[in-house]
Amino acid sequence: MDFLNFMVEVFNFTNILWLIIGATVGVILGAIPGLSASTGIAIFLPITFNLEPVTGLITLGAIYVTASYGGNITAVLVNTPGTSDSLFMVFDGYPMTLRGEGLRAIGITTWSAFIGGIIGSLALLFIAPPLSRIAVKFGPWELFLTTMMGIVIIVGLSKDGMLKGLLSASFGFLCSLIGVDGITGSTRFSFGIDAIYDGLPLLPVVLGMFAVSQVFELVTEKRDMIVIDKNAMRGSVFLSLKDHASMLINNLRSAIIGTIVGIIPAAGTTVAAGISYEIAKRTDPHPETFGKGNEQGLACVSAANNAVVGGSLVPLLTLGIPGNGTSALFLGGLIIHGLFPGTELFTRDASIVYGLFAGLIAAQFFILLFGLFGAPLYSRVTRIPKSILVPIIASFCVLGAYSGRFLCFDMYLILFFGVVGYYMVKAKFSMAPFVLAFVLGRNSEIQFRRAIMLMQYNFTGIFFRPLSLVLLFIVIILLVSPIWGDIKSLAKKMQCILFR
Amino acid sequence: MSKANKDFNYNYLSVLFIYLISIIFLISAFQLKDVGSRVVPIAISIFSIILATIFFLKTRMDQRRRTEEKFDFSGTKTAVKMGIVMLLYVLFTEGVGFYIATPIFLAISMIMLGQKNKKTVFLISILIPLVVWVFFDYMLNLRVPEGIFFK
Repeated sequence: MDFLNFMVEVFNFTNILWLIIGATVGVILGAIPGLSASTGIAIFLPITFNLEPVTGLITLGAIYVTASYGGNITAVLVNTPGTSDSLFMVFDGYPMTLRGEGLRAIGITTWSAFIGGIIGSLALLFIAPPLSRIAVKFGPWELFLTTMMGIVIIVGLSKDGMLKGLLSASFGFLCSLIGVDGITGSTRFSFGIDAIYDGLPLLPVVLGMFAVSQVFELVTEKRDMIVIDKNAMRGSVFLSLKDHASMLINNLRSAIIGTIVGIIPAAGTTVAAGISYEIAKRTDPHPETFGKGNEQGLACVSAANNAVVGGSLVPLLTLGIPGNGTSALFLGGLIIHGLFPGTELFTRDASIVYGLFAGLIAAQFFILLFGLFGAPLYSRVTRIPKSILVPIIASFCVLGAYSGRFLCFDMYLILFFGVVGYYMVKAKFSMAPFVLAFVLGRNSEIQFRRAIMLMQYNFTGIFFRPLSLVLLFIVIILLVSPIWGDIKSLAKKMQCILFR
Repeated sequence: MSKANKDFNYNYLSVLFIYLISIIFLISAFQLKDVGSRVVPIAISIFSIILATIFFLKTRMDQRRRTEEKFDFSGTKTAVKMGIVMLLYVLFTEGVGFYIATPIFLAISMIMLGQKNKKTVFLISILIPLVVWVFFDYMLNLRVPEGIFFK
């Protein structure tokens, strides 16, 4: 009942307006290759900074949800996933477009994404509050281990190897240590610069790493714009009842898989889409048609992808563990508004968090709206030339950096982190570990120091706390598992050398 | 791009960068008076140096086995140009304010990136500051960099 009351309170004119803005921006950014939900959230963080927390979070939530869907459009229509999340859409979506069923493919991906998104959001609504009560039992040591778990999970998922992921995280951790020491209050590593006296501001760092680096990357790309073939846009986006019935079980199953995978930190959309696709293929009477334009293949990955969004917010809002790079930025959004994951979020700030849930559910309806009625417009949206898009984004980035603290220094800071971000992308370093370590670094240091002070510098205390032991065990497993194969092969080599 | 540039292994540059940052933090950490304040920074700096060394050795080994990573830095010249234009934009914004610097920046960067339609360049250059004024100044009451003229 509480939730319904919050729903009524939340949907005032201002919030609905910002929901529409967020949803529109999300779909457009998601559809443009090279830009993603991360870019959208990064650009919108400064704008939401001065809004009411609930309005700001609804906007960011709408961007997150709809950008995840926006990538499906270009994946289906032009074989170019707008975001990496939409990779699986090209398998069956694009062959449908080649058959001249582009609009039908948009209809399928839209309905399935809607079902997946609704199930993911409902799971968030029902699972997150009870899970947050467990978080009360966490002391400093458990909180430290939880933050480390978040960092280690993202590091383990780094596309270009764990070593690079760890280096990226270490750099982020070092940057997070700049500024006032959270325990003693003394200033560290500010190198005489007054503007970073109390730390590097989150907004310019995030904007630089994700948005400005994208600006630099976009200008290096050779193509000027992507083009959608007019012949592909035939058929209807509206599906018959029979079509819906035939996809219902597939959609529900994939949405549940997506939600569960989303809850597991860092498992991400690719894993969810991969599992759903494999199961759909195995259970389909015509598995040979998968990859050649099978409608069930397109439906399952769309449902799973969008269900991940709701699922990924469960560990974020309850334990402060972001499941992926985008939700790490979302965590930044929470912190900027003075909100911290855990029980208090569901008690003291309940109106904000339930408002966010309501916004996420409402944003799913915008997916339907944009998908079913906006399809003819997509061919135009994706035609915005790079020469117009890039300067506009760059200008908003500079303004966004300034509006956080109204300091010109921050405009230079985004340029610096933009260069760092560009280099990291080109040198194949994942940015997610950096951002996660930067966001969580300072807090994890505080918790660590509190824990060792409480234990009076006696680490054996860990072994008498079952929760700590479990968390420590998980952290070690997560740290070792990605390199387990390497360790085994190294051990074999050593064995050969020693016993030759 | 010359062949020497093509063959350059950027992992070495990354290692150098991590060494530099870690050493700066390490030296600064040792200068801190409070022992508690320095524990984590020292630990992370040393950890980074160790990781960078392992990364250096791994890169060397990969190079010897001819399995080294390939990097694509093509187009970086354009990115550098864009970076310089953005830097000038920031300097200009600080000096003369957002509403004067932005139309100039938008026009220059659009032309630089190949926009030939002068009408589009003109319209966008005027429209964006106007949108910012409506959203930021008028609706959200947010300050934008004022510069010397608007103070």
